[in-house]
Amino acid sequence: MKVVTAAAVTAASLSSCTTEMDLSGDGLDKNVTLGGEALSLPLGSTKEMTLGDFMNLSESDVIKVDGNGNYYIEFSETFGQTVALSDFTDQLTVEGLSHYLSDVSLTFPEFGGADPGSGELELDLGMNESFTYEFSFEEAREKGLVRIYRINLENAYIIPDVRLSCGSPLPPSLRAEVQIEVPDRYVFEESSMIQGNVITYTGSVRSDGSVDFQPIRLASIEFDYVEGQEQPFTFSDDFAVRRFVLYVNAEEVPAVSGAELTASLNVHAGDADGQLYPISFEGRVDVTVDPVTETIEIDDIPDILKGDDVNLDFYAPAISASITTNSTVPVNISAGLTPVFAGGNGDGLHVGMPVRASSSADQEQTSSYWISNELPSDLPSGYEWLQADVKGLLRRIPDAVNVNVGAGTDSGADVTVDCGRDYQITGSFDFNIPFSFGDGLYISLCDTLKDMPEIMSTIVRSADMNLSGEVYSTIPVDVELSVCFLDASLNMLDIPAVSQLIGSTDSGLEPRMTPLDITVSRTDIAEDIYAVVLKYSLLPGQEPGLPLSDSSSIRADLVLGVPGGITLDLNNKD
Amino acid sequence: MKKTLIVAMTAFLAAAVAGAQTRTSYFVRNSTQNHYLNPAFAPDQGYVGVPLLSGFNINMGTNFGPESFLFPLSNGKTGLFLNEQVSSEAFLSGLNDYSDVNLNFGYNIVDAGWFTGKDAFWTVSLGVDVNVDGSVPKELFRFMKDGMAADPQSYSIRNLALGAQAFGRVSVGYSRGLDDYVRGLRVGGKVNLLASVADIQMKIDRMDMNLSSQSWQVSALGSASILGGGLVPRFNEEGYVDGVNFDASTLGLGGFGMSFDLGAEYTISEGTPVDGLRFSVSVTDLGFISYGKNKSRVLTADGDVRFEGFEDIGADTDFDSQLKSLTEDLMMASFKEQEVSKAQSGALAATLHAGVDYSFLEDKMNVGLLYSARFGRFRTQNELTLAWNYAPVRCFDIALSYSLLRTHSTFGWLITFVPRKGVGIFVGSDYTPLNYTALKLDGLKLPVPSRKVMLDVNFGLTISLGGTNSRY
Repeated sequence: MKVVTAAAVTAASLSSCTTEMDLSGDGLDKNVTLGGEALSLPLGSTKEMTLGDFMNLSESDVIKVDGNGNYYIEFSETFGQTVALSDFTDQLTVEGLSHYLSDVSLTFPEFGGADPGSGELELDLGMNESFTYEFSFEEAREKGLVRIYRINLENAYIIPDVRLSCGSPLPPSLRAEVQIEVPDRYVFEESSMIQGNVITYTGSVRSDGSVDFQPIRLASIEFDYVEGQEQPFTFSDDFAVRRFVLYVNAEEVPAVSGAELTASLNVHAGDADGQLYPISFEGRVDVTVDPVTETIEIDDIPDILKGDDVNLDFYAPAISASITTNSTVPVNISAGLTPVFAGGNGDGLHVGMPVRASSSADQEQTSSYWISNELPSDLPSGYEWLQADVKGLLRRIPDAVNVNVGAGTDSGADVTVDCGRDYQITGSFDFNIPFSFGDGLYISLCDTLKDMPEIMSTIVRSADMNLSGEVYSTIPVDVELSVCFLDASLNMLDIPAVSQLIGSTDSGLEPRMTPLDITVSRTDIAEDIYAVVLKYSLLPGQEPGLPLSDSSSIRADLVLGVPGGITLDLNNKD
Repeated sequence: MKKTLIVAMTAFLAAAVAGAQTRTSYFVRNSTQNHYLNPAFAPDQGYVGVPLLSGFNINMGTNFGPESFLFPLSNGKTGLFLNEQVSSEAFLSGLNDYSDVNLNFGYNIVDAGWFTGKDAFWTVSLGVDVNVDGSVPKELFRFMKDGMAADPQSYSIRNLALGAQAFGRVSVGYSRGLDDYVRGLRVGGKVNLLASVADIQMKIDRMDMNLSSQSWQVSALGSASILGGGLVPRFNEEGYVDGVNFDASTLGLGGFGMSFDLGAEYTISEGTPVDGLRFSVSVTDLGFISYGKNKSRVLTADGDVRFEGFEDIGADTDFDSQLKSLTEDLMMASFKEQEVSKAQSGALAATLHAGVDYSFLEDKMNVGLLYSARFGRFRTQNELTLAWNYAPVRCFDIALSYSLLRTHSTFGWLITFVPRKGVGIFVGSDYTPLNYTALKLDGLKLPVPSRKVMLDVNFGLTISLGGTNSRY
């Protein structure tokens, strides 16, 4: 038993309580630190935020993006005008030639039973008379006719009208011949009847005494113009009947021997109704049309572009004009462009654009102009550059632009005018206004990231939180990134705001990387963090005039770091 | 309520003493329990366990203690190992390469042994066993403590394992002296019929983590099995495990198996100076439990999870769900169920015992040396135990032991009272800590082993049936 007792005493004496640990409520420190000294978590990449996101720009009827991704404002206006030249039909229509010559008589020869012989007898009526034809285009002058070189006539003919009367029946073989001498300026359709400026008509005499002559078409009348002298528009032309003879078979003469024959002769030139109608004419005209005024309302411009704190630079505004006409007459377009603002009109701009004539009224000719301050290096093909102070016109975005378009023919150009038609002129003005930031730029955008995990609140309460990583920017201006925190009621939490400057890109193409280093100090916030607001502020650029490009963007690769780890109090069940 | 619970636990541990299978009882000549360690052993007389109290043991072993994870702070308080005042070096230097946890619970509902014939001893028992094993590599704690001490930081975690097993056992044993053939030789064997409720195992063979500010990458190779019922894996839409649910409706007998215990002892009694020297060897729990394929679920993990951050972070980003998804991806998502085409088997943790002891003072005292090796599923545990026994009378024995390998700060003891007739008792422990840390809880001081929590409790009541062991 002693042994047992000794063993028990030995065992008991070996047992000892070496340390004491207090695990009671206050005795146990339940703070734990997780993560170590360099705890960092790759948060990932933010969405690529483009300038469109910043400025709430999106392609619309007004805001456009060109092939290089650059923003520009575009609006346009079309117009239509009619150059009415049909009036010249009336003004150039004149009374045709109609001249009555005195009647002449003759007596058929008497043969008294003798044999008249065979063959044909010539009976000369002995007519040789000149007369004058006068007409005037003075009305046309008043309507804009400047010169006329030639007028082409429609269905105009020149023909003598002969009437024979006799107490006896006219011999069946009787025929007449008339020679008319015409002025040189009259141009006839080619015919064997015309020799020089003499037209010889030959025709059989009908039983009623009329003569069947073949009319000669009067194609046009040519007019002289002496350079430097005013062209008269009253014309006087001398015509003459040089010969009027009859022919009859000698065998038929005895039947009418001694009978008296009376002949009358009229000379007509013109349409069936005696008028000379023009088809077209060659010359110069000075026709203007009443100007039309259109107003381009520039809607859909985001307010941010009109804000007082936005200073935009329209660095290369241009207007492209495209004018199409079927006019065979060169037309000059005169456009007056006036910006309209809430406070009144701005300085206007006037440009003149000659429009090339069409070779045919059935074809259209388009003239294109690029109107800008400076000749662009990439002038679109087919465009002709016109220098104008478009920058002065569009220093800022107007509410509207008044477009006043007038048109007029080029009175200094020789043209062929189709009298019977009105020419159409249609066109459009397209305003192309790429824009950039100006010196006074300040635009900000907030990106609110909601539903933050609870661990973020824990981190902020327990340690400094570091947001590191890299920010890549192709935005041509500096960006200030600031971070603030909101509670569930979207009230600002009492955490000091932090910010960092993100540098602008140098080339505009290659992104510039800026190391990110934002530290949020440990703060005993009462409410949990519900949202993080990332505020990007675009700052004034160093070199105004850099284009605003849709491809300009900013993106961040974020790393969340908690130097020293996250200290949690396990007593806090939240 | 809290105080009541603490008191109850303390009382339980205080009463804790035990060893239905305590190694300290191995060399106790009149033990009614050491045939569980070596089926060749037989007590002096037959016995039957007191119903419901015939024997139970609780064994909890860790190779760490509260001082491994609790540290005094400068402000006088106690801090957890993750407290920033606790240096990484101080914490990690107190850990082994693997922090192991073993929890075994054995309960005999029926236990009896009796002699037949000249020297044949029969045993029969009915009981349940619950085993929980876990092994956490030090690298995992280094990850928890150091996190990202540098950027980048790498961790290579090997052999993270967790397993649990619960089964019932019906055993029939037979031991017989073979003095007719070899004087002093005795052999025995036991057949155990097993019925299992569940066998759960998860093992991460390899988990490599590379953490940097650019990416977090986890590469894992592991396997898991859920044999039997009770637990049902939960899968996400991609078919990866995202959790485990307990489903009582699946409880029941999930597998059946068989195991054997084999043993022998040889005592020199040739009239030499070393008469009384006894050699013994045994192997227990040599067997398996098989589960039908419809009761088996096998999971494997073999993949990489790389997180480089969220894409397109913006106002529409749901950070909460993204973080949850990330957590799931990192922790569990790489486990995926595999098709099970045949029945699955789970081996038991066999144990080898080899001992030598020498008795003297007319067999009233003996000393012995026992080597034990438990071939666990995740790790083999070796133990070397020195034992001293003293039996002033045949019915009473007191034993002391000291185990060398798993811990140096415990001792074992056992009191055995087995009368020829009447109620006997055994109570003892292999690991009674010598160094305690007093954990102060709401005014109570609870002694807890300081460095390694090696606790076991062994207790039982028996009723002696008489009979004899031919040795006496």
